[in-house]
Amino acid sequence: MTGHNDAPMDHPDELLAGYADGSASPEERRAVETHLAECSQCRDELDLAKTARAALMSLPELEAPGLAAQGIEALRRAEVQPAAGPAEQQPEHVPVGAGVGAGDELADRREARQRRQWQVSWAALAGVAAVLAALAIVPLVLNRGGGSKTAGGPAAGSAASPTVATNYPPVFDRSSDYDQASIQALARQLGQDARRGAFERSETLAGPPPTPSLEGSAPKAVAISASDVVRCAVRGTGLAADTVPVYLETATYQGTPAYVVAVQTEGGNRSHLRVYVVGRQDCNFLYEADQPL
Amino acid sequence: MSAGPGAAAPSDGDLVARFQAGDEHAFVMLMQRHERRVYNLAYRMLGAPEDARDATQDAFLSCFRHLPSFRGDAAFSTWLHRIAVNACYDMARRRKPAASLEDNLVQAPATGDHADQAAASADVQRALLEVPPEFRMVLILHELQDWSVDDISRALDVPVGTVKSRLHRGRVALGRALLGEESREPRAVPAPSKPPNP
Repeated sequence: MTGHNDAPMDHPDELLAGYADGSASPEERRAVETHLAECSQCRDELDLAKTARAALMSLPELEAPGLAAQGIEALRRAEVQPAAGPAEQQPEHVPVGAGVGAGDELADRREARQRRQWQVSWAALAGVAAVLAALAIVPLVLNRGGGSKTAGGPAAGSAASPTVATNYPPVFDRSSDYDQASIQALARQLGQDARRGAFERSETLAGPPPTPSLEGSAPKAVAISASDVVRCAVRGTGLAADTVPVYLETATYQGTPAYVVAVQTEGGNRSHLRVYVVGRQDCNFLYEADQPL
Repeated sequence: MSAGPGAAAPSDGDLVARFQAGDEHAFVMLMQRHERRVYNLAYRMLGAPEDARDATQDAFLSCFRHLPSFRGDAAFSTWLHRIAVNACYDMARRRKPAASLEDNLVQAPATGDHADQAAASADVQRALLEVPPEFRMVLILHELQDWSVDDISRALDVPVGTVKSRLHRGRVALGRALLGEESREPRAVPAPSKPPNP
């Protein structure tokens, strides 16, 4: 997309990163320079990258806040703070099949959150409470642009928990164990569906959601809260909280219990279908595949 | 396993082993060693000293609780930074919407810089907060914490190619923010360039 020509051009983002900071190999530099010769967009971006690097280098390193100096006892005190506090942010469902550790992890997170709430100044408590109240209703009001890209069909209402937002797709379980290649294949498959407009037509929303043509058992909707899955994906990937995915699946990724979340995004002059994989137990980001549309 | 008496400073692995054997002071030494870097990561990611301090404390608390079962499959610092990354994401989700860019400017911690330099640093920090979080994290780890792409790949459990791509996209987004250009990411931004708060 250099040039506003008809044919889209692949931009070597990965190589540009090394080119900008001098870590690219001679071969990579040559490839980048060949590309730059005909791509004004990448030339502009390279200038922006250099500006950014220079700015970051100007930032000072800050002193530590001195937690270590307070010793283990301070950590212990933080750990044993009473769990009472302002109203809980929102009910956190332990995903079905998330394993023994998931509940512990969520409890850990709640406890840390509550502990911090007690550590903030009293003057800030009112503001915190207001934010928590706002967070609590997020799952109920999630709706982006009328939800035209959602796939919340009948299966969502019948199989998922009552907390599922009506515009979320159901959560599927295909007993899949993904790896990078199969996630990329899934992204391609969902990308084909997206190109057909499968996530935009209401008749499709009411029908069966997209079923990737990968090996594995037939997809079935399971009673896992789509809100929980989305929340986990938001936590692990930095996606916006109002993201409405087009496909949700509970699976494993290289043996690790995981959620697979596909999102159709609009960016500049090209749409993308992105598939994110996050750990089911800790919401850690595991993998993403990008399928330009 | 552990360094002998009079030897050089114990390695992280030595300290982990000592902690797992019951020596809690070893954990304090690990905190002393890594606190500054974790705090800087959190501050650059979150932009507010209090949030950064809380995220740092959360990270070490989680580390303290889970270190007994740490198997050493990854380096301790890699493992700790993974925890810290998650603590930052958690904090970013929870912090007040009112803790906005303007607040961050006045919340910039004292660094001993002259006023002009401090103001310039605050401008850069403000622009950094406009970079989408997943790109910002890679930028901070690579440019400010001197992590290699391979180390970031391991810490974030993201393919090397993805790290490089995010690095470039993050630099471009930061460059645009610094120049006051409207954020537009035609190739790679999956989310609006704002913290994932409602």
